[in-house]
Amino acid sequence: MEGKFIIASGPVIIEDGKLLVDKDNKDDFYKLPGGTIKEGTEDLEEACRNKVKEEINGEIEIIRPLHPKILWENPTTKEKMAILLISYLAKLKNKPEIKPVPPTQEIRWLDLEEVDKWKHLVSPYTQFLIKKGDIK
Amino acid sequence: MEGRIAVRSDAVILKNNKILLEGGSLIGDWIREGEDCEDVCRKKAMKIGRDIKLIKPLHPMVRWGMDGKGEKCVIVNLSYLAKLKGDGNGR
Repeated sequence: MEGKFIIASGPVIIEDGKLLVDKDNKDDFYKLPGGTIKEGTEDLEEACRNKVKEEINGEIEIIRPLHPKILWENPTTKEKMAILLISYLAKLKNKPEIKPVPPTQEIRWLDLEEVDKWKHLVSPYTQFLIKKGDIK
Repeated sequence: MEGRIAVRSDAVILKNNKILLEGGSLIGDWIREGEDCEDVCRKKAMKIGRDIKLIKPLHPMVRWGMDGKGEKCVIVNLSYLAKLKGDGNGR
């Protein structure tokens, strides 16, 4: 494939039946922390740890990989491109210290039962991981 | 980022401490535009007469380098632990 592409890596953090999500000024839905890896990055787990630190000042321990997904268009702009989403189940090591680091505007712990009942608008990838049983 | 990206999806099938290879490779294929990563390795397995069930995703891998034409290229390997349908638990 040739053209624009993004490879993103991020964690799924669940504690006491709640899912950690964040929001920025680009999308109107909650999404999993994490983001685009830099060109040349080969260690996706390290990229995942770095992204969480950058976005929410979080420190994590990676447990295992979850289902990856390829999107063939940007869900926000509808631009044709390949977006490869990689995620890991992870444990947050510094819960009291997390905070939104701009451009992240908000951090929230969403009740998984409420997410299941569509009470919150979450990213398509979050919905995919719920369907796959990775978020439960 | 802009450039060339090649993504491969493979099934890792283990039985009695042996790994199933087809023609020296894991059962899988390169993903083409519009395709789903899980469907690609399931379809490849079907093509060679194997019906598989994907059990769980394994660690993905990314490599950056040059292709045969000297152009920058990124290669991503996605793999899944899988089992042959009607077989044991895939471990």
